[in-house]
Amino acid sequence: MKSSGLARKRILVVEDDYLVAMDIARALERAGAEVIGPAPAVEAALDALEQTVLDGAILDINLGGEMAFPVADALMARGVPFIFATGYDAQVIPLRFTHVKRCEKPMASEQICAALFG
Amino acid sequence: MDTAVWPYGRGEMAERIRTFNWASTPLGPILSWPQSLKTAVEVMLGSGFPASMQWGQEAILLYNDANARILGSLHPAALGRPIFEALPARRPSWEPVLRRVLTGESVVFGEQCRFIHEDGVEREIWVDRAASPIRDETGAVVGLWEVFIDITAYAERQRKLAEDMLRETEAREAFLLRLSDELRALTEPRAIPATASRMVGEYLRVSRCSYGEICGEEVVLRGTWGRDGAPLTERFVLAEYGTALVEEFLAGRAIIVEDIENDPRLSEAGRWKLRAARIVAFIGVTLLEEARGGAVFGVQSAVPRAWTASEVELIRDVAERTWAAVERAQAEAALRENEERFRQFAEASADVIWIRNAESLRVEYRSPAFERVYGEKRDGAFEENSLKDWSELVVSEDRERALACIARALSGERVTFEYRIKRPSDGEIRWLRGNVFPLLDGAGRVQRIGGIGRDTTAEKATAERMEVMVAELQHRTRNLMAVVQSIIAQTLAASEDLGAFKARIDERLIALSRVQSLLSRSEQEPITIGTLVRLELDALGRNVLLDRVEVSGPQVRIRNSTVQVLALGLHELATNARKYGALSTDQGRLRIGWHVEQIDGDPCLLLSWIEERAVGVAVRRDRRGYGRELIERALPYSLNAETRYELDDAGLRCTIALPLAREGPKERGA
Repeated sequence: MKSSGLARKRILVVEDDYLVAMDIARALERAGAEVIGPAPAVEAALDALEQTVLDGAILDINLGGEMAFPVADALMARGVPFIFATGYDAQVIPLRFTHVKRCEKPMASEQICAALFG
Repeated sequence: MDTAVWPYGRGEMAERIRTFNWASTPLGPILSWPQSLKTAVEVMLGSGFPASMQWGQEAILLYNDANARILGSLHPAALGRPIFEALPARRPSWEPVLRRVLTGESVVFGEQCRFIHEDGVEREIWVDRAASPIRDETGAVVGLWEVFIDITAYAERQRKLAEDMLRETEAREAFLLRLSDELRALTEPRAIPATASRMVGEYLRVSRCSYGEICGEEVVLRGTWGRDGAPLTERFVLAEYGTALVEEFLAGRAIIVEDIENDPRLSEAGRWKLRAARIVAFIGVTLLEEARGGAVFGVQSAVPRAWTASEVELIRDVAERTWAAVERAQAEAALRENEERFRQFAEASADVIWIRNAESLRVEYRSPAFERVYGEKRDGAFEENSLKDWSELVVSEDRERALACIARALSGERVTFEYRIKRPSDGEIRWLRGNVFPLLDGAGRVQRIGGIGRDTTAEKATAERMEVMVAELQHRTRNLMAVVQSIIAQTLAASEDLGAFKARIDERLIALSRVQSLLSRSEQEPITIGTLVRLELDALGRNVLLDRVEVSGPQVRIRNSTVQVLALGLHELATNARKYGALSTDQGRLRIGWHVEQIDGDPCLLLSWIEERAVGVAVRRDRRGYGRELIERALPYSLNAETRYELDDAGLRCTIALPLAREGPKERGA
């Protein structure tokens, strides 16, 4: 499960479902990454983003009914690479994020690493 | 021969000729007259018709009593004088006649008017006149013989006859005009033969009248009229009345029978049938046309009748007019039927069906659906019904394209396009799918354009909703897989062997699937906290627990996004209660209660789960790790809930404060 690509990288996890968030966090930690968050909502994610210098982020698009796009905008503004972890089809995602990779849940840490830094 | 005796006879002119001084005329003394002259005079005087002679080169005039009356005041001076001295006015017309007769020719004049004087009264008579030569023994023409025949009475009769005929013709013309007017007013084809029959019957004063169509051997009557309830037939076979009649019929001649008893063309069987029907005389006129079959118009009389030629002609006229009127009415009825069929179809359609003139672009037809879709009167609102009026209802973004599609249809193309309209009445936007197509005339030119407009607003909305639902379903499924993955991993980590893992994972997956079915029905049955609690308790085996579990609380609806994690938490609480807690012994009790409270101005669901163990019952090894994690960590994390989880020897005391944030439009489930 070790992934040299994620070692010591600080990755923000934004995911509203506790169980899924914990899973992603555990996978990242096993791969040597430092997990920031996880944040269940836009506000918490923006807080975490303010306080830490990030190497990457995984964003669930739908956060309990609120869309995660403000977080994506903030990450883009800082040049932080990120991926969408989502079950949605591409047409739900605004045009400005078409270049952002999407990972379908459930996912493995190798997938996350490849999508973020591959 | 005694001079005083010849010529014989007692008439005035015999007397005058006898006593006239002929010696002073070129004829000389009467005793010297040649026999030819004397014979001619004898014949003349003996004639009952007005007669006269002009004798010799000088054309000396002699005449009889009847002729004297015609001469009137010129008699008796005219006797014995040359014709043109006696009647100078006759010279211009008479001289050529005289010349022709003297060369041996006979001349006849017809119907000339003369005046005669009888007992001092002058009256007009009509005469036929003939002039012929008189020859002597040698064959030379020596005189002219002229005779009149009074045809006054005959001429009178003829004039009267002509007048009668004129009156009859006028009456017939008037009748036919009236017939045409009445037939033209009839729109029902079946009413026409009946009306024609009645009118002819009354006009000719016959006992009955009928119009029929030829169908093979039979004549089928389409309209009959009878006087005094005379029996009427519906159909008959002409051949049964006599083959001679069929010949007439096939030759297109009228069959005219004045008295059935004396007509050799009728068969005896036919006569019997006619007697039974009280028909004694009849006329049947047939119209034959290969393309259209044929028709028969008949009039019948209950007494012998000498039919006149004009009556036959009248019936033929009527037959032709009736046939033409029936054809016209049938064609019109077919046209009306056609129009009615189109109208029924178009008026019943839920789609807007319309027709525009290709030249003026005005609306010629619009179905009632227009009013429902556009919210405008279909003939009212637009005075002009022009294309511009319509295009102004189309939203500006779609207008140019819609008009371009109409233009393509005008150039002969079939076009399908979608457009939106804005209803002036309520400002509502509606989607329409238009099918526009050219309607061509006989020469293939676009005469009209037609269209069908379907209101697809509801379809569009459904399609959009479906799209959202599919996306939502995808999201939920993917998320669910992630949750399942997580549960499996957690359960595996906490299980000492595969047997324990299987038991736990089964329960948890079943709990998860219960929540899914609840969520899938949530549109119809909103999910309440009570539903969720009871669902988990029921899963434990309800009958065992009833008396030891107390559930109380109002009906509180909870958000779909809250349901899954909350249900998983409740499931762990319930399972643990039965395995390790209050419900694992016979005496323990479980109380679950909830209510809503305002916390910091926001509504909050406060739920308490209280387990009391029976005193003195040993506590089994408690394995509540996963349930506790869900309550203490997952609920606060995902739902922003505040929770407490206190487990001691007395039992478990768990409280959950769940914010009931308003249902936003972005509500999409976890």
